[in-house]
Amino acid sequence: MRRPELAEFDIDAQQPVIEAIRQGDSYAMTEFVRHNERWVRGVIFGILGRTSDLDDVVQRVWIQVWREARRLEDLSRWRHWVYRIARNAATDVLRRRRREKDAIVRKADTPADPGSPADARLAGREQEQLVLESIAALPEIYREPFVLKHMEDLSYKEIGELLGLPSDTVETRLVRARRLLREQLAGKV
Amino acid sequence: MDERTENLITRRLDGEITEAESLELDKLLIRSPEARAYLDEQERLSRLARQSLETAVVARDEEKRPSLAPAAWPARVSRWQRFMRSVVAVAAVFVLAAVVATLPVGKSRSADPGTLVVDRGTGAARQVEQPMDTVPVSDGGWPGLPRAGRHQVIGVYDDETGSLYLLEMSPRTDRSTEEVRDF
Repeated sequence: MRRPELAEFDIDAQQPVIEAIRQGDSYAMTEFVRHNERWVRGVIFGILGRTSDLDDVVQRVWIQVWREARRLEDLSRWRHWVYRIARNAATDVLRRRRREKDAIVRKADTPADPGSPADARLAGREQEQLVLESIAALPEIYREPFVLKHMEDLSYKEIGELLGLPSDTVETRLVRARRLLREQLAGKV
Repeated sequence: MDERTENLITRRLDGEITEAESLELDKLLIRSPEARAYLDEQERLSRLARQSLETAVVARDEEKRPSLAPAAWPARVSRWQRFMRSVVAVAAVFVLAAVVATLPVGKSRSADPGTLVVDRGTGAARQVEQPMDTVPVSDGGWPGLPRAGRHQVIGVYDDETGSLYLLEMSPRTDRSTEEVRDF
């Protein structure tokens, strides 16, 4: 069944916190980070497609949010504003990496060893690793909504607002993301 | 499996399905084992995806928490503060330059008028304006000088030692005496 939109209560509940941040309240900032770190990390992972650099980019995002909160004019758009900051920060890292032709091997890219021990816990980890690799391998346009959906359980409308897409497009991309994931993981998990 | 069924399954998994769509999907699932298998598989993949993301992306949250203490946020500097800081910095540079310009450096130190400045290195000498002054010498004047009367006195300033030699010419005795004063 369709659940209530998060935007109806959750997003508005953060507006006084944003206002306090604008006034320079560092405790409010800490609270804001605690409340929003999950989905911001999801956005950054959705763009980077890997977990290396994630912590650095997240930290950079929060510092920018703290410094530039006073520039946010429409408090109701705070989530979109934070999203733009996170997206730009992640995109900068991607661009820099492309320039430097970064050769660091991603942990997520490490192929799972098919002959690994049958230990259930290890097998579970390997499955997770495989799934993470497959998510990372999705094209960015599919990966981003997929990660937001699975990390924060945002509605199509909320994802659409963040990404600047109609809800229908979000839905289509999620259908395709699932289809691609299924194809990549066929017979592996 | 047709696209409609795939879309309905996705909407159910994402919590976006309406009641009418849910009913429609249930009917499709009853009729189609393929659709049931697809739903089961996608449910499992979604669960795995959540776990994977939780482990890889979110689990690091806790490690980051210590850096989220309020003290960790850098002080915010407004444009006005930045502007004022720049103004103060420029003013400080000017003040410093002015102070440096007034400091005596090397041989720029000036001697008193009436002083002959001798440069030992080159042997050159120059006389400061108003040379050869006549000064009154009273009782209790310089040791070795005549006790009273007017005498011509010149000073010879040694730039190297910083000493001033006072040369006194007595019109009566026509001899000179000297006294050394250190600065």
